[in-house]
Amino acid sequence: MKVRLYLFLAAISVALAAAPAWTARRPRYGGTLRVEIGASVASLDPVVTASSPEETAALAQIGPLVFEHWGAVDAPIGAAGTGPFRVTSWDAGKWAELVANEEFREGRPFVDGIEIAMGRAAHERLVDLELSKTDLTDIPPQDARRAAERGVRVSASQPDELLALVFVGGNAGPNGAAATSARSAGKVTGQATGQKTGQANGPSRGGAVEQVMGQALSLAIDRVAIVNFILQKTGEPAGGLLPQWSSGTAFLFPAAAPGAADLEHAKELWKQIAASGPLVLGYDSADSLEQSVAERIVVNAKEAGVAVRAQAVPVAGAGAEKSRGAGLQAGHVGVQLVRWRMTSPLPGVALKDFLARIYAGPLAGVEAGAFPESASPEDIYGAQRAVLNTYRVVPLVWLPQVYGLSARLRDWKAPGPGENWPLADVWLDAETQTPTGVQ
Amino acid sequence: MSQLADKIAAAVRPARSLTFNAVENVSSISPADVTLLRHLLEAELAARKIRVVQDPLPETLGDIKISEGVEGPLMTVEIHRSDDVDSREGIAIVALQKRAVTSSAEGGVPLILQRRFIFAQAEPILDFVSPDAPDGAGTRLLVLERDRVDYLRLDQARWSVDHSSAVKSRFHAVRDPRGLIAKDKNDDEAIQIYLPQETCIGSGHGQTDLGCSPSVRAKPPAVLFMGHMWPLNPAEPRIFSAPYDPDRNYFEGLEANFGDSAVRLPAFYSGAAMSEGHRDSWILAELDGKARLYDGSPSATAPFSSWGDNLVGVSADCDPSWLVLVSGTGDWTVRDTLRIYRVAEHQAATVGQPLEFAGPVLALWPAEDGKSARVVSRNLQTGMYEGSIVSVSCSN
Repeated sequence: MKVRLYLFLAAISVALAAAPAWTARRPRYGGTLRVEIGASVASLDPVVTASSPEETAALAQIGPLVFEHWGAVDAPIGAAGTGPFRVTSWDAGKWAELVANEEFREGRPFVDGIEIAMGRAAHERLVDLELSKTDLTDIPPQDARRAAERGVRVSASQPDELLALVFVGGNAGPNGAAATSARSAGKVTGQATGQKTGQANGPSRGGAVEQVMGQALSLAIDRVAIVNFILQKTGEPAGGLLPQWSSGTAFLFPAAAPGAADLEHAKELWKQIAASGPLVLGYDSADSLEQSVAERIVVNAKEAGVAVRAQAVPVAGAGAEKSRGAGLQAGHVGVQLVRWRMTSPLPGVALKDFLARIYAGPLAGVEAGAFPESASPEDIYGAQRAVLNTYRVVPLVWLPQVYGLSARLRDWKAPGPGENWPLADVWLDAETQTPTGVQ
Repeated sequence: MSQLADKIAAAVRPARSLTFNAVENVSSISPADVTLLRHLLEAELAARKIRVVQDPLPETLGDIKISEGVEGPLMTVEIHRSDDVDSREGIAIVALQKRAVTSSAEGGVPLILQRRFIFAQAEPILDFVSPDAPDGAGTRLLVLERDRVDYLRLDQARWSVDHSSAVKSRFHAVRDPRGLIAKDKNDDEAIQIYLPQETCIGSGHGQTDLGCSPSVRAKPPAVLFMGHMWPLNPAEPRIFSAPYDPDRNYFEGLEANFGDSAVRLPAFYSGAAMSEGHRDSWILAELDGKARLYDGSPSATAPFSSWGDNLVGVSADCDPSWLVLVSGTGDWTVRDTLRIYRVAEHQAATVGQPLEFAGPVLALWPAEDGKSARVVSRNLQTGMYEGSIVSVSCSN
């Protein structure tokens, strides 16, 4: 397969960002920043547990505004009010008002305060941006291009969130070359529904079956089409566990559109395993992007003769992780879509985190070798190759974090992996004209 | 490169020759350096008895790719058998060191802006001076950071820190701190350092610790003491010194005399002053984003639009006009420029080509000689803070 580099992000930043008319450069003090988010945060109290992944993510952004130190496990360290802002009003799950902390150790923020509207739907947030009723909101990546075409000022981070397929359960077995042995052994029979057929730590027949399934799927999926049509070019096809901008070697894991030979190879692999039913692909029922991608995968798989059925799995609500696990089991889901955000721009650090998830999940039972954060480029390549050779993790696309900005918002830099919204550093340009008659 | 050659040698055995496809470069490494790297690799392979040949039907093929990750450029070599391009006999990857790159200005107009790159570092820079030479050509450098002064020495074309003096502040920090280093008018060996909440005195050679005193500013209704006056025109501090607001990032209005009346001009981020006979004039980059000229009157006599917040007066031997260096508009997420304006008859006309920077100009201070300016900018590609001296020269 030919190696290609995809530079969609550069295109986004150039083509989609509607640059405002600049009037100033050095930061100005004053003004109230208006932020809208989709999640509803019930409390900043560390003893209150977030009820959904969205709330956890929002908490990780709002928390550091109020607490100077926000721990690695998304929990505050120290007292509220030690951060750049102080809470002056809190209507749980709906509305929050923060005021600049004049005594903040790193200096008072430029804005006087922040108003945060919570629980706002994506279309409401976009409309409010268009009407200049808000200054900052997050935009689903699949809506980025449409928003820009409607005149919204869009800011996108480097692609730092991996959308991937992972096999559910720990059927991998310790041998990373199991797929090869499965092929050489001829036909392998097995369930395609994720039912465990082998011990996690033994030479797993189920693991070998899934490995072949994973390889067939990986060959059949058109990642380029997912990026071009579902994501409207906001993202990059993913072949490895790290994006090109971070590791510099993502080109060694090709992610080009499948050719006829790839589809033929996928068909042969699927015939070898003689699956008793379709492979059930689980996706987050509350995530429209995951749903679209899952449906696309079903179509791609069908073209290669691979039987896949998409199934929504509820994850929202209290005990989300638990309910997702139960939903996966109840639905006999064999493979699921996951979205993993990098925790650091540094390839060694980010990969170490991904490996921890992988060896606790889809590769549970497989002994993970030591992987230092200061690993060499070759070690980083080798660790990715070891995971990908098992086909229990199939990278699909890299997603950026996308934000909509008002014309008056200045010095906004889309936060990278491990970074928070830089709301203490942004400022509002009072000279920028907002559309008249709309407030 | 030796490590890379070892790995390639291990991958190609027992072949004694290797053919490389054209090098694919998707990094910021220059084409000249790519050629150099290839030659270095070939030399290392030759030392291992592996010849790099241009064989149309080679036994072993190598694909070289120079790419770039967040930690810098990488060189990857994939070795294939020529009869199976999908085969991978081996992959070798090494991290590369990027060579420092300096910028230069364009010319061809009556006045030319020239930039002399002095140094770059990861830590934010507030100001820097070369005690030996205002044009930055000396071998020593004082670098003012948020909380210390570093004394650097040029050693075999590299700056290294000789020692540091800490500035311990008892006040909370400000988010956009600014700082200025000025030579003491009464003592050639001494320097004065102006920070938002402190003023420090020390030796230009760093042989003594800095002595700092706070710029006390009690807020109303208590007595207002405006703190130290920052000398914004080292050649003539009399006409252009102003107090700095310790909680913000701008200067409070300077005291100006127009005839018999003293007037406080508006707050500003930066400015330039000109004195002709008994008549003083100022251009101030004010808080509303506009620059204004005050020329013999407490009311602005001319506004200048589309100017950035950083401006400074400079002089050129060949041009007696009032020349002002002005940064561009835009925030700190975009590239910046410096332009020369010739100010006369209440009008400002741009002269020559702008000097481009790979990121925002963060500080612009006049040099002692009045003919150049110290520029602190941030390179958005590398994230490094860069110190440069910009001067105006005549094209002839």
